[in-house]
Amino acid sequence: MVLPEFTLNHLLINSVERYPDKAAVVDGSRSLTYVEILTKANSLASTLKACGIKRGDRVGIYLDKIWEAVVAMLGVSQAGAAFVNINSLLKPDQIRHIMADCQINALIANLSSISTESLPQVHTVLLAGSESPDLSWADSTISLADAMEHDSPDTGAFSASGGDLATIIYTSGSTGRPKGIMLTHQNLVAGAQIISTYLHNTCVDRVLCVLPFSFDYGLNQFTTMMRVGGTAVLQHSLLPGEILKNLRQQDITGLAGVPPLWALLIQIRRSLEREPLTSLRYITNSGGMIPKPHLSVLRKLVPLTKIYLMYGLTEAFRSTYLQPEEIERGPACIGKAIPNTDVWIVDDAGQECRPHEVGELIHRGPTVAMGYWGDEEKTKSVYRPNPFAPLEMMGRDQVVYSGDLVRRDEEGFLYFVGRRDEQIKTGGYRVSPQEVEDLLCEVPWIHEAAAFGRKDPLLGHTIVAVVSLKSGPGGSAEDLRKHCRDRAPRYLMPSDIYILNNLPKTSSGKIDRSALKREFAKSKN
Amino acid sequence: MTVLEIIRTFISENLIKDHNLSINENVQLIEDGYLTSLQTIELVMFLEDRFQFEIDPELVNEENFRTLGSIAELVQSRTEVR
Repeated sequence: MVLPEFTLNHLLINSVERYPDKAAVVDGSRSLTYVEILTKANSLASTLKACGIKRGDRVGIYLDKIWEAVVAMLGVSQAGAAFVNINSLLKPDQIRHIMADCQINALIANLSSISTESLPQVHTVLLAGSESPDLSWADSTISLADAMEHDSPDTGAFSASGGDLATIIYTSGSTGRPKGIMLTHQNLVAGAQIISTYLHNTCVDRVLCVLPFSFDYGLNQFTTMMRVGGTAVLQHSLLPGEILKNLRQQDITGLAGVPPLWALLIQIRRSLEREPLTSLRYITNSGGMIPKPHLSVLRKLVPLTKIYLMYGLTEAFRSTYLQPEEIERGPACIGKAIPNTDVWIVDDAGQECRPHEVGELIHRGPTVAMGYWGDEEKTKSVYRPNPFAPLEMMGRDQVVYSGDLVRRDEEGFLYFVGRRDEQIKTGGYRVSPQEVEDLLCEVPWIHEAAAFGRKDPLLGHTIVAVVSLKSGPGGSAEDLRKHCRDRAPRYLMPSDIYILNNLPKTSSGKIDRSALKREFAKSKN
Repeated sequence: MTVLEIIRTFISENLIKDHNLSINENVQLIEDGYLTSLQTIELVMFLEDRFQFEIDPELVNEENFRTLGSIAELVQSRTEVR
């Protein structure tokens, strides 16, 4: 019997019902069926409960993208607790912040990754790997492998309902410490339903999970596969040889990435031209705009593959997408709202913008998250009453203010303009960093570019650009200035250009603009 | 300079940009976070240019790029074939 989809675990149980022996997760040479995943998740849930984990507790998962991480998320959910994926690239300081901020009660981790310093509120540690270190500060230290092979598996009774907290996703905002965004089971289920619907996912799909589970769209890869009974193939290394191996040998049909992944595929075009990827049905981009020249090369490299451009923010999980047939509209086009969702563009006065007028995107729908963990003030500033709802609803209809500036054309297609707080105002012109970055990326020896404003007493802002070069013959900042002079109006010309070996990346692989800004946007004295 | 030294110099001067860094031939370059995947591609382009041969993207994998020693081995195997 197929169950209604109320929690993450219903997605799993339905797939077990329909495809018990189908591969749910492939991790290197290891392949686990839906039944195996369920059995292990249930055992883990009963171990967690035996250790005192209750409904509503938080369990940290600090693992690489291994199959145990998938079982861990499902086992924690099954126990009624919320899982908190901690990116394995984070440094001890950030990890301690996250663990303390949401008061992690139990931690599932690799030995090598955990500190021997005590974490006061953590009473249970489940360790992946075979070593048994001295963690005397914890009440109990259990081997994760044993916990997943428990003799008396959970009865399968649900300890959670759809409105319960399912996960907290930490994102680094433009300022301050990472903030935890609270997602319910309903949010996760709606995200999986909506995206698997418009990507036409079925049980024959095999998705390559390149993005980390700690990133909302990385998590979504696994939830959509779980919903349709497809296969999630876990990608550990980002080296071209390793990605190509999985794309080919695992007959991958779907690939989700952020712009640097496409830059990497373009770098290895030789192999893709020689041996095209025949099973790859679609790719999806999120987490930033693909530079225009990259998109056109990518389209030629995978001519049979549908390209979906997406836009989302963790606060609302996923938000808009562009149908592959409309790709000619260019990389700035983020399409229209995802199914069962409304988006509006509003001006500073809260009025809906006219076509081509730039305003802030607001989002309403079932993927709107609960808010920021432990930060009511920040929650109130982002999660606000729907300005278009009748007054009699007394603000009970919530929308997310995205902080992203977009414009809409006459046909209703949305175009990304920039972050509200990243918009550059120079000499009376409003400039989006993307315009400057696209301009610089036209130069064939430019690898990546980031632009932002530096406060200036006369102009408001001057434009600062930081670029990295491809290997081989390059050029100088002076050559870049000449290119800008020849190709664009004067106000788009960066006043300062810095050339770096590599642009810093956030843990989810996007260009780390805030780090660059801290380094280069200080006013000159 | 030996092949190994050429690779070491490029990595420390152009990729890691730390002249004082001593990486011996057994340091786990990727696993221990010395090189990102994009830096590895930069290294491949340098090697192709310096030694005048092509490295198939398929060969840019964890096994061949684990350590300075394994990269040097890959380069030597390719240059000897010719």
